[in-house]
Amino acid sequence: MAAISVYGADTAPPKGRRWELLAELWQDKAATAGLVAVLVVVLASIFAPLVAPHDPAAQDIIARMDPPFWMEGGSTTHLLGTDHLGRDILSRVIYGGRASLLIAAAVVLVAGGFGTMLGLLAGYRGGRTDSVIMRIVDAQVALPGLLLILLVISAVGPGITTLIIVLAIANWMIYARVVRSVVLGVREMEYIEAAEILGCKPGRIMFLHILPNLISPLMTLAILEFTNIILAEAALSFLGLGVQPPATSWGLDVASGKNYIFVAWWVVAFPGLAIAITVLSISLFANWLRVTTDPQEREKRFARGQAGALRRAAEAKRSAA
Amino acid sequence: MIGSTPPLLELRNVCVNFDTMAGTAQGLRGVSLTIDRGETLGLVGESGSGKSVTAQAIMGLIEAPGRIASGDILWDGRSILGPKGKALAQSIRGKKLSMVFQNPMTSLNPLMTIGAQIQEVLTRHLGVSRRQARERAIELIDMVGIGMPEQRLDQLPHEFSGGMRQRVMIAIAIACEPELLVADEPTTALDVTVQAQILDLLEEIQRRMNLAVMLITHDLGVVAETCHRVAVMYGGQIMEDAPVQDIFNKPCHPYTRGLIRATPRVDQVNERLWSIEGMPPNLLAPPPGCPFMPRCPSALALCETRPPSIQTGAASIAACWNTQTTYHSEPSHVRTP
Amino acid sequence: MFAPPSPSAIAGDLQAQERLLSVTDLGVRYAVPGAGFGQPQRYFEVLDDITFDIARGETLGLVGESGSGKSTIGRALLRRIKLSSGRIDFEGRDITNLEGEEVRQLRKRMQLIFQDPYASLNPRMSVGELIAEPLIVHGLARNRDDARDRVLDLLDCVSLPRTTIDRHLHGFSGGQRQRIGIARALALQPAFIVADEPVSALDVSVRAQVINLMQDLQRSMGLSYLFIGHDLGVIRHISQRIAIIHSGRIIEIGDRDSIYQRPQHPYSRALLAAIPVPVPGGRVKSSVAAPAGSRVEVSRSLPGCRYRARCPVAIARCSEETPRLKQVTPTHAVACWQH
Repeated sequence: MAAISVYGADTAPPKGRRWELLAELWQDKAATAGLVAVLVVVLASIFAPLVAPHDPAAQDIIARMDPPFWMEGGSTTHLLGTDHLGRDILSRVIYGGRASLLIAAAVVLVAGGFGTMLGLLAGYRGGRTDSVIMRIVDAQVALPGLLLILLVISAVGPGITTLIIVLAIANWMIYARVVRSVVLGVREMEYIEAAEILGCKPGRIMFLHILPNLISPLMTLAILEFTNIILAEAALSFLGLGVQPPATSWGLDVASGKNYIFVAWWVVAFPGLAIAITVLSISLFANWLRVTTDPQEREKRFARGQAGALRRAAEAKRSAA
Repeated sequence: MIGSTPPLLELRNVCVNFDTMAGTAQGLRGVSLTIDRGETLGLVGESGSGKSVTAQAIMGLIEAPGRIASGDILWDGRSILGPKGKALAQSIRGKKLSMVFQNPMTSLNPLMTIGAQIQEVLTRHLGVSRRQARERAIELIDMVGIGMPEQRLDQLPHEFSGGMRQRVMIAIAIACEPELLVADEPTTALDVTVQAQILDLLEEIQRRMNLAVMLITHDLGVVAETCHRVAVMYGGQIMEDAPVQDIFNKPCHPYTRGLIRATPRVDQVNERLWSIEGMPPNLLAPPPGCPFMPRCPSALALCETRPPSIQTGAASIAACWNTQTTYHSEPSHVRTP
Repeated sequence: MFAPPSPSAIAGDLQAQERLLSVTDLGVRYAVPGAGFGQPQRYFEVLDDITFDIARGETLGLVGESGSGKSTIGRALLRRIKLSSGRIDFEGRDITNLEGEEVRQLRKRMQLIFQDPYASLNPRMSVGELIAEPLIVHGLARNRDDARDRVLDLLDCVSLPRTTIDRHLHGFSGGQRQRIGIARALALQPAFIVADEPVSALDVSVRAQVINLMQDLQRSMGLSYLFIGHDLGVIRHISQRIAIIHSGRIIEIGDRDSIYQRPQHPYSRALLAAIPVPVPGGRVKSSVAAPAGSRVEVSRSLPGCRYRARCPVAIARCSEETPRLKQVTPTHAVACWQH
């Protein structure tokens, strides 16, 4: 509410911005935890052969459905227990992250990139371009996504690349719709008109002037979609149309372990937990990142913190008196 | 001043700080002001000078990250700040002390009729019946110069032009018969011909209701026309506080004089405009002395320390070490009738 | 190619060779949505019969209230909106029907300074990137170093410190931002600049700096301005000639002194009388005759003078025939049946 502007172009930019950013991140404990968890998951997946205690596909008939080590009958050989074929759950979770993260990230990138391009074009060009693109979007939204995926995979045959392409085809529309609506607003901003009057060509305006405004909404959307894709991949793998054994993914393990949920809950629980933790951590960190990359939001967050501190100080004073 | 009645509103050395990421911005740095009953005080300044912050402080609208760091605000001699002043503050704000905002387009609820919005104020603050409220609303609408008040009452804000909406805002502000009306740039969003009408209206209401008005503006022309007394603000401080004739005919502060000379005028042409070089002070790290010193053409070494308020006339004060010299040299435009 | 026969026998006898821009009978109208099926399309006349000239090195001030169409004129000259009639000649060439790449090339000769120095600059770009942008998109800089040198020159031109080149906009004041906006417009070395209320958003002390800068640049570069504004003090200071627009029509045009000293149109008089003068007791109160309580506006689709409902001297003819600009002196024309 307060109209305060800080003048003086000669105020130097703050020194050591990277350290300052880290310090700011530290203030937000949830975001810090999120970043750490994401890093752990990603690094573990990349270095899976070094980290995993066992071969994820190695079966051990004697040690079938062993519980985790802290339960009766568990052992430290299989820290998180084994599944119905005696495979080590911890190793499977570590290896499973590879497929799940790769597929989800790739689908979000491909679908997001394609949808963003079309959304930009539709929103900026308007007119007939807009109508044509948005009718295509409408048409595809009306088509059941799962049906399309099943058709394509049964025709082409399963495989990670096929999976990525198919999931991208079924999921790009939401990006186009969101991007278009944001572009419609941004297009009205005066600096876009200024760029046009200076003689910028449409490509430059779309990518240099409009695209940066989409980062925040796209990031939010991408995280929501990331979760969806992990779950979609799980569903397809369960149907036998996704990741093929002996390779594994979190989704596949959740799906295949669900028959044993009442006898050996850990078979389902740990890959499921991996999905939940990954998604939660990404959104915690991404939310912080979204606020931090927006100077206005960042200032608001700071103000909220200050207001909270003042209120606490006043309360402390009152209770002391 | 012992023994005389206290002024209607008094600000004593009020400081307002805003905590921002880059540090603490000093919005007000020791502002002292008084407004008497029936007086129109013009508060002039540029953006960032603290004129709107002053209004917000008076209205109790300073919210986090802003805070009133020190000083006191007195209504009729009694404080309206802090826990002790809370009861008094609540009893006067919205009734004896009301406000008109800059933008009449966003200050009205677009989904409620004009009449309902005026009546709401009346029923809430004065506790009158609905019938009485409607009668009073018609009276008010008529008073602010809107024709056919009974029909207009049932219309929605979009059916009114900008000037008409500002009239409605004024009607709402004077509904509870306030003693002080704070008007924050009430005509800035309006066209000049409409501005003239609104200023005439404010003046008429002020006279008729013996209202004290605090008119916040950046337009010296508006001030010259409507105010009895003028306080010029810069960098969160009052630079000069004097009757309107003195401000324009013998301004004592170099900033006031610069401001007057830098305003292009309809009634005269100069080859080149006088300009105040440099920029307004950085509120995060304001100069320790006079905030205007870095831009001041007649600065002294002494100006490194904060200037005191110097009496420059019977009712005039200027915060400047160098008022004597500026007083005699280069008198500004004096219009001979 | 030669310029068409002068539309401005009206107000301002310009020699053909020094004429930079001439606008003849320019009209802009929007289709009013919601016309029923089979009913004739209705239009809202935004601009009507706009005719004026601008000479090289001259400033024409364009004054009007909000909704009068003054900004639309600027956008029309820049070929940003579709004209419904009329023609625009610029530097001896008919630019009314240019398209695509031709319009883009026109940008090098004709630029715009925006009103809001906050909204019109992309906050994500540095000062150097902002000023270099016109050079880059028109391929005018040979390489990075060349672009940087020219940006530094432009910073000098608008009196911004050279050290600001790598800074971001955060923390810049309105005045400094407006200087950046001016440097961007100047980068292409245009002959003509539409200045759309360039100082309305600025504080008094900074406003004077920017006005002086614009005048200095005009002198050194031989620029012409169409200076759009509502502040009659600023307009008087910067313009050689002034056009007053009301409801989409120019109702008076002439050289500065005759407009301010001898305004002829009743609207011009009301406008001038309404300006608060920074002299206590300067304005004569209640000189603005407008019936309070109603929003007086004459429908634009009806013939006649659009000011007649507020006009104190209106006669029957004012609602029957539209008055056209008529010369009262060689340098002053007014559209009013009283003359």
